[in-house]
Amino acid sequence: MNDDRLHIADADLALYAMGALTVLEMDSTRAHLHVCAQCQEELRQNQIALAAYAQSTEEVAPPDGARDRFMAKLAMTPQLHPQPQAQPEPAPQASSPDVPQEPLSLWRTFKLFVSANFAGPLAGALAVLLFAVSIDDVKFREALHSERIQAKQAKTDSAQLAQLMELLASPHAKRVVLHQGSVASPPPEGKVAYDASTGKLLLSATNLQPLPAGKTYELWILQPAGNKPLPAGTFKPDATGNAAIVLAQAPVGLKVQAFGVTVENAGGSDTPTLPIILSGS
Amino acid sequence: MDDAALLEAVAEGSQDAMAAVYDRYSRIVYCIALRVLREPALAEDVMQEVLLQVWKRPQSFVSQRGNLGAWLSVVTRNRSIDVLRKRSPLEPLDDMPLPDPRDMIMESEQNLVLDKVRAAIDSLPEEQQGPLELAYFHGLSHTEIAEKTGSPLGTVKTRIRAGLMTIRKAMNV
Repeated sequence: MNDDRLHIADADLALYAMGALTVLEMDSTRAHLHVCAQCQEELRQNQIALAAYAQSTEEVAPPDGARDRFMAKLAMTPQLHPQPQAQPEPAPQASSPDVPQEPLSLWRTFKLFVSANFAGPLAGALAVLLFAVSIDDVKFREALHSERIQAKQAKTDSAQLAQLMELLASPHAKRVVLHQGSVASPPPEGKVAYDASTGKLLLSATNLQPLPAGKTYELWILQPAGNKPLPAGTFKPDATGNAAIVLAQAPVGLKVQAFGVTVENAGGSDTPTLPIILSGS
Repeated sequence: MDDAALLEAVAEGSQDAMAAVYDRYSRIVYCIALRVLREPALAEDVMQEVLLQVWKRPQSFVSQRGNLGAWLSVVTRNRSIDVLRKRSPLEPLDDMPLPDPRDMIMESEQNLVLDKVRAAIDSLPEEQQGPLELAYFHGLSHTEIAEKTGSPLGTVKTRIRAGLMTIRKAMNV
């Protein structure tokens, strides 16, 4: 991923393929993948490697009697015939044959609801409601109706967030820094937002110099004396010098003294290489 | 009978064909589930569930072809992580990305490639092997791995990526 466009970091794509990012990061990555063939290809190669990693596991025979139990269950399980009118979701990554297409059961409804972004607390509460109470039909239908409305709202929120992520990461979005008076040659500038309570971090930078091949910018969290600087993500500017790190996950509760940006070898570094070209506290 | 023919027969409702699918893939499916869940009973449940999906919806795979074993391996890992996470209060992963079965390595070259992959994994330094195992087979997020290992988040990411790149190089992808 060495062109001038802003892409998902290779390491994050590896984590995405494993489902090892946070929910928000999974969403923002998915949004980017919808529009970026280059990152799709990188993801595809990661997935091939991960499938081989899974298959490299040393084989173990299932327990005694497992085959008989499987065949007994098989005999009681009807096959589901394809529904020609039911089209799969447009996103190929979301099509998961390990999710059964059964009538809307209580469990599946719950799973659907939980999988909607930002619906976690609500889904948890609803799950308690649905599972803890002895459900009569009327109460269940009322709960289901309410759940559907709120799931729809959660999906709307999620879609808006995905659009925001895409705008922030888009190489086509125009970024303008406003100054008093006119500035002939504006200097490089970066803005960082970090929430210590959640570890969420965002960087937006402008007027960055282009980098030679094999180099990348890296953001650092500089802590009080005695603590090592923490790497917070690598990024490359686009053709107009703009760059962003959108919703990176930094450690929670850090005492931040300052943030700094250095130039490192592609892939990033464990320790910052001087000079620090941008800094702020 | 190859996988495509077996799946055609499964799609026509042949339980014998499904038994053959079980005989061919139950070991790899079970061992992956066991590696993630580390409980034989839970691993058997996941194995049953994954293979019964082949029975219920063989068309979903027949239409795409590819290496059934490789694809089942990924589905099994994802489903096992899903089960693992539901036992602890973390978010479910029903929407975890799945590869296109057509992208998987060909069955004809599978043994050769997997030997290379195993050798590549064995060659990884522990500092890369550990985080990769934690992310893929223990279902930990990068932040959880950073906390567990005491390593900075960026270091964890870099090591996981490096480990995966070693596998990719061994496979030439």
